[in-house]
Parts: sequence; structure tokens; C-alpha cells
Amino acid sequence: MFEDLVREDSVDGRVYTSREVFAAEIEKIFARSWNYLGHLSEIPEPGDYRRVPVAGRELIFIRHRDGTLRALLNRCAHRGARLIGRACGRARRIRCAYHGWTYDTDGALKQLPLPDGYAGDEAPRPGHSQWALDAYPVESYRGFAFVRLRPPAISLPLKEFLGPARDALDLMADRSPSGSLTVAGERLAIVLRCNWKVYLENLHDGVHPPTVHESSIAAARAAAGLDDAPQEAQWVAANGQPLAVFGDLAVRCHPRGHSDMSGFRKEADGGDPAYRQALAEAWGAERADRALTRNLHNACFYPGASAHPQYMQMRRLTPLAVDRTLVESWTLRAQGAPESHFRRNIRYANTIHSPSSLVKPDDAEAYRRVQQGLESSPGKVSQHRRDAGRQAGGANTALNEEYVRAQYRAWREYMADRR
Amino acid sequence: MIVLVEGRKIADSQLRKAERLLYRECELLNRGHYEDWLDLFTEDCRYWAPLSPEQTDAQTHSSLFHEDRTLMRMRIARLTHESAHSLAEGIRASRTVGPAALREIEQGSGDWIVERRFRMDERRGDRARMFAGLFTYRLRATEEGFRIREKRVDLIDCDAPHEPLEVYL
Repeated sequence: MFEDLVREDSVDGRVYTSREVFAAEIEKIFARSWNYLGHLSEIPEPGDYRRVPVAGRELIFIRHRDGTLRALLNRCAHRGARLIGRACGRARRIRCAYHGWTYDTDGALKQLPLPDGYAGDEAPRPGHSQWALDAYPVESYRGFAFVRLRPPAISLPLKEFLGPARDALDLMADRSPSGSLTVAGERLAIVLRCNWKVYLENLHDGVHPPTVHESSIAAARAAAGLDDAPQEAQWVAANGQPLAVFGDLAVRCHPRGHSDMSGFRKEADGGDPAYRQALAEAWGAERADRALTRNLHNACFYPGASAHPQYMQMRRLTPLAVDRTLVESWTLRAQGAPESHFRRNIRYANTIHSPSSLVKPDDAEAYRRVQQGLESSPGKVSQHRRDAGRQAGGANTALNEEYVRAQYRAWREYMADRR
Repeated sequence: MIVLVEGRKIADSQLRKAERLLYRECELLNRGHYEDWLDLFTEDCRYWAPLSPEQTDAQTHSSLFHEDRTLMRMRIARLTHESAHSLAEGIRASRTVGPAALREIEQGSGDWIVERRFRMDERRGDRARMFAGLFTYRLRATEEGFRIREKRVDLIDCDAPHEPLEVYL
């Protein structure tokens, strides 16, 4: 059984390299957990849609005529043809390019050619639920919409599924006095040559930066010596801090594999008194200050999303193949926040999440080498035993690997589901 | 160089100087002489590869690349650093360009706007990639001759996912 591949402090390399394991992960983990679909602001008007990859399927994330959010399988009920070809747009109806079967924005069949050619109760006809597009439940939390394809053994609504990990989404929404965010500045997307878990296992890894990022740290330090070092250089140079600094970063492991880590860049975002005042009026002074000062770095919503609240970054991970992972990231603009914050966050996104990032190539190379090393050493294990057993009851930091062990506890639970 | 600007007499010697600059720009990149390449740019230069087709702004919209001279120096410092792990297998790239066309001489600044199609083939170990699109240069006449004020790169697949982009296109 798959769960036998995983021990508390190490896992069989096949967990990262086997196509069989990968296929099971898609059905048991991704299809049964809440996956990030997108932000409400991406489809503001009725008929607005976006294609979204979820658990090996392609969904249409669409706003129905009545304003509700829908997640429909992008597949015609007739021959199975992919329906929507554009990445995003606005549609009054969804019409198959092959034979013209036409669906409403909630997936209901509206029209088909030659309906008289079908007989019996099973005959496709407008409004017949059997011939509607497959639709999946969508739930949103503070503007972030998630979808689940199938319920797991213990089925939780989104809010409970996220549990304390919701904090990162709250911190982002709380940066707007009206709680309203909009995705702005387009999506950055990078393809990594590694299994999806390799990426997740790096999210709170405070040991790798000085080694992996040696070249960009040196480059940024040279620039940071200039009279007016740009913020970009400071962001990149931050990876070169002593390991002890990473040891001060608290990592919280939440149920179901979620986690978050306090950030090592602390920037003063409360400098605009009118903005702070507006937030305090909306949320109370304590919560307003928390939104402006609490910097969570890489919150993880296991298995497929992460966020970096201070810089208003939301990311989605999509496993493309056992050794290929897509990571997309969006910058959110908080309505009512200073324009300078948004512009800084765009520069942060360019610096950290763009494929041209000075930081990213060496991360991607480390992930690729993990993948290559595991593929060429069957029967060997990958370890994550640093500080195993030592932090029981105590606080975790970016220097131990407890969050990886927590991810694998969630992994085992999902994979043990026999249905 | 093809001149698309109407009603202006442009000296052949000027056109040849601009052509020579653009030839060097590409070849210095092809040969990996990044420091010499940067010398072709003005102090207030910008290297910009938009993330979306028709993108007009880089302040409120993410970009594939958006670098001033300081950030360009950072990239070059990294590319030539001995511990750039991702470059362990080396990176070789060949930029092939189409004819350059002088599209506009900007009112006021006098900058030349020159564009040309390109294709870049890249090899990192056994990994091969191909990029294609349009280079748009903003050339400024200085006392030392033309310098590049801006190089804009519009990739035909700018909005698609990419593996890391390390060298300049």
C-alpha cells in the first residue's frame, strides 16, 4: 500500500518518481481536498470565466447569471470534446465547437442539434440533469474561491478544512478597509522539473538559502553596497543571513498538512496614518496593526496553494506530471491601501516569482537535482529527520523539518483512503 | 537599416552606426560578454520583457523582466558567479535577428525607435528551448555615439509558463 512508502522521518524515493503513486495522489489527495480556483475579482461579471487546471482535469471557473460561482468540467457531454479554448473571457453560453451542443453558465444543457434523433428517458434534452456539465462545489473564504471534486472520508467545509491556516488569507483581506481585494498585474507562471512535493518541502526550509542562493546573494550584496541599494537587492540579499536568523522564524504546523512561517523581511507598512486609521475603523486597532506588521512568509494550504501575505501574493501549484510542476502566482491589490504598497508588491513579484527571478533558477536547480537523484537511485530513501521528536510540544522553526513530516502525515491520511 | 520614418533625411553614416551598435548588442550576448554588453546602454537604461502582449506599463503590471542598470548589474554578477548552481552545465544561446527597421524618431528626445524580429535558441546541458519575438530598441545619440536607452523584448509566448529565464534575450 502507498502509505507503507512513508515513514515518520523518511520516505521511499518512489513517492517522488513513481507514475503509479502520482496518479493515486491526483485522485486521493488533489481530487479530495479543496483546491484554489481563483479570486472572485477574476470573474466579476456574470458569464466571466477562467480555465483552471484542477487534479488532472480542466475546470471552467465561471460566474453564473445569478452571480453565483460555478466550477464546471470543461468537457462536452456528447463526445467529450474540450469546450472552452480561451484562457479567460465572458460567455453568455458555452457552445461546443464540434456539434454545437450548448450549455448555460451553470452547466445546464440548453440546446443540441437534431434532438429527435434520441429516444427514451435517457435522451439528451435541454434541462435534463444527466446531460448537464459536471459541476463541483465551490466555496470561498474572504474572496478566495476553492473547489473540491469529491468528498474525502471526513468531509469538511472550506473554512474548517483550512483551519488556522486561514490566517494568511485574513491578513491579506484585512489590508483593505473594505476587505476587498482584486487580482491585478497578471499571472506569473513558472515550470519546475520536479515532483510537486519537492516544491512544498522547500516552503519553510531555512537551511537552504545561504547555500542554494549563494550566487544571487553575492550579486545582490555587491549591488546593496551601492549608495541607494534597491529594495530588490535587499530582498535577494536577505537569503544570505546567518542560519541563526532562520532559527528565529516560527513555523506553525496546522492540521491536514497546512503550515505557515513568520517572515524574515519586516517592512514598515503602517507609515500612512490615514490608511492605518481606515483599517482600525474597519477591523479595530489590534487587528489593523496585526495586518500591517504580521509577515507570514510562504503560508501553505496543502496540497496545492500558498500565500505570502505582506506582499499580497497568492500561488497555486499544479502537478503536471510526476516530475513537472507548474507554479502560478498573482498579486492582489487591496482596495483602500496605498498605491505604493501595490507597486512594491509588483516589484516583489517580479523579483521573486517571475521566471527571470535571480533567486528562482537556483531553487529550480535544487529541486531538479533532488528529482534526478531520486530517479537514479531506486530503493533509496529521502530524509526529513532534522529535529525529529525533539520539538514535541515546543515551537517549530525554519531550521527543523517538522513541517515536512506534518505534510507526510496528511499525505498518509489521504492515501490510506481505500475508496 | 530599413527607414520607415517619412519626410526626414537621415545620414547614411548615422544608419551604419546604429546598425553596428545593434549587431554588437546581439553578438556580445551570444558570446556571453555581458559586461561589455552593458557598456552599450545608457546610465538610465531599462531592459524590459513584458508579461502580456500589448502591455504598456511595468509599474502596476508584472513583467518577465523589468530591470534598470543596477538590476542588470546584479543579473550579470550572478551569471558570472562560480556558484550559480543552475549554470553548472553551462548555458549557450544564439540570437538570430531579422532586418532592423527605424520606425520612429521621437519628437523632443530625438530617440530612435528601432525594431527587429529575433529568434533565440538556448541550450543548457541536454535541455533545449526556443524563443521568438520582437526586439524594440530606444537608441539615444550621445557624445560617444548611440547608446541603448531601452531594450524591450516581446516574446510571442510572454504570457505562457516558462522555466527559469536566466540570460537576456
